[in-house]
Amino acid sequence: MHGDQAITELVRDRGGDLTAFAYLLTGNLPGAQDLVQDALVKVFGRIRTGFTPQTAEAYVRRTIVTLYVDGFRRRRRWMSVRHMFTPDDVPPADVEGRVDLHAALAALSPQERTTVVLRYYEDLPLAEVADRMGLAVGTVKRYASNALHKLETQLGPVAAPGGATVDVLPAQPPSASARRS
Amino acid sequence: MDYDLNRGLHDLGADPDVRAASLPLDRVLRRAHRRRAARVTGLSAVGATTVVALAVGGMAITGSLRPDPAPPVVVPSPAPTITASPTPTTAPPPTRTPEPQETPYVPDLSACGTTLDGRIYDYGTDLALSAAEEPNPGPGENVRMLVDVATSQAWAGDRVSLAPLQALLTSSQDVGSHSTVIAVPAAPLRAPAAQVLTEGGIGGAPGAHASLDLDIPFVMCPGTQDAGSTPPVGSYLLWLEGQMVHADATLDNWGVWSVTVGTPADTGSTGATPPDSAVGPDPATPTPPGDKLLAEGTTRIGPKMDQTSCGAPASDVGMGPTSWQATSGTLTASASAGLVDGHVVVTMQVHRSGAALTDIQVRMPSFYVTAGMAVGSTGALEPSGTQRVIGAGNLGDHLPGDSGPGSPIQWVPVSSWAAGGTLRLENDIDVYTCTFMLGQTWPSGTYQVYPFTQVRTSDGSVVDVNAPVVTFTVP
Repeated sequence: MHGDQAITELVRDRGGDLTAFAYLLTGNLPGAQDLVQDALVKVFGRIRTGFTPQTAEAYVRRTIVTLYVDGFRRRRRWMSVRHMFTPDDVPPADVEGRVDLHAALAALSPQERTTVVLRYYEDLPLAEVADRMGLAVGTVKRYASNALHKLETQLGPVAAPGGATVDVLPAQPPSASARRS
Repeated sequence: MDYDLNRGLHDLGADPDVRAASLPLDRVLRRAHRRRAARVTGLSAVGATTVVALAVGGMAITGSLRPDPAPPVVVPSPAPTITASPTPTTAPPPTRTPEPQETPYVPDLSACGTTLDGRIYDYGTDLALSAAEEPNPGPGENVRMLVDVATSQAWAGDRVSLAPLQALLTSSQDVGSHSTVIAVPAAPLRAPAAQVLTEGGIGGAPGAHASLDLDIPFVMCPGTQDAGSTPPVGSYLLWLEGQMVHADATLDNWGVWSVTVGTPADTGSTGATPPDSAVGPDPATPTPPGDKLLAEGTTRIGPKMDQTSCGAPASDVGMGPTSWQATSGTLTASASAGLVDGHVVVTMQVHRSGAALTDIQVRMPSFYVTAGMAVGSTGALEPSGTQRVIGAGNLGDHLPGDSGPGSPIQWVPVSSWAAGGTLRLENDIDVYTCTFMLGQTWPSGTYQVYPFTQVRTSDGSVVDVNAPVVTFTVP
């Protein structure tokens, strides 16, 4: 399939899903649209052939994750962060126990948020999440654990994905030896 | 009742406003076309330029470049077969079959004069080329090297074909915003037979890889001093586009390496590429090939990279003289930068004016590097171009720890931060420019460093902290 044809079909048929996926990462629609566009341009910014719709979408999704984790959020933050030690506007849960998942996700780091989205939205096993993020499984477990700790402070106990056991590790900071001397 | 995160995320992702949001297809296509055009128009345009130069300048191209047409291959007539007698009295003398005459290869000179830069590398491609050793052929010898071609795809055990698509030489002295092609292959690039991928992806991450064994003769381009000859003694950059063809996908990407023709001592002689004479390696002391071209005081750009901001308009990352605000509020920062042992060392001092903090985490200084942006200027930012980010560095996977391969930046714990206290963060970073890759040196000049770091408080909030712009100079 020619690159332009692949872009056109991908945007037409899967644009909504790709935007939704990016939206869960960025937390805002303009950012999600930018992220999807950047990923499409990166993937199709050279002449390619042989794509199937499935492989093209897989490439774009993987690139969305890479762009988001590596730089997108950081880049956008420069323009958006204005207040010191002011947490994101996270409304408290209302009296009926409804919670704002959107706001809860905003408290996560890009890595934690990506882990949550790939694990709970894409329903990927941890090994696949690690592969998508280019990380060790142990690292992803740590991100997942930290993310759940944070989410549970606002959402209450979180059900395990697909009935599996949630591997919630005790919260602990990274080793001091990690600091570069 | 436990919160169903899976359902919550799907509800969030099913937001009608999100689903209905249109992606600007025209704009995406235009951007993709521009990116493709930037990659290929140089080749065709310079090809035409080369033709004009040949015609107008009357440059003589040696026979190795434009050989005379080969004479037609004469196929000898088969000797008449004697069938009259089943037992010939004398055996016919053996006749040597003439060897087929090869049609001489005419080098493709269309790439000569093309300008290349690091943007040719495609970060959206799941393929990376690397080499443990950089070539060091003798004068007149082919460039031989073993290139590792890796992908993060779980293709170990699968059969693929690898091929070098393009191989070009530029002068290593031709550094700046681009590099000009001065030599092209003098023979067809040959692909090895199909091979089976083995375990191990990019940078040791999960994936699969195989090796591409290269043996390439090069010929200097028209217009160079040694046109038509093999590259003279000197230092070059080898730009290689490699391709991996798998049943599921075809991937290709570029890699760049230093190539030194001749021994380090030889590089003092004349050649198309002047040697880097600022450093004179002791001939008695063998020097790793990758180090011998570095002049003292220059910065070696290491293989650790973060080019996620490369090519972004300065304003997009908030780097303008007016938009790069040192963070106000309870955290303020200052910074310094300089060259120490060939590395850019960035030091940040982050001052806390508010109440004491406990159980926080910080990151080491990261930074963007630009050239040509006037520090302190209050003028409006130009779009990318002279103010384009040319380098971006961060800790990335420099830190040891349990982050695993390819990990983003790690956090460093700080147990307490007293009111009015100052954290001193220092990091030396193998800066990675946007325009050159893998072991090249910075051009001399003055650069602006935009330092930043992040602080994460115990409640998980992350605060970005900028420091005012500082400069450093590469002699």
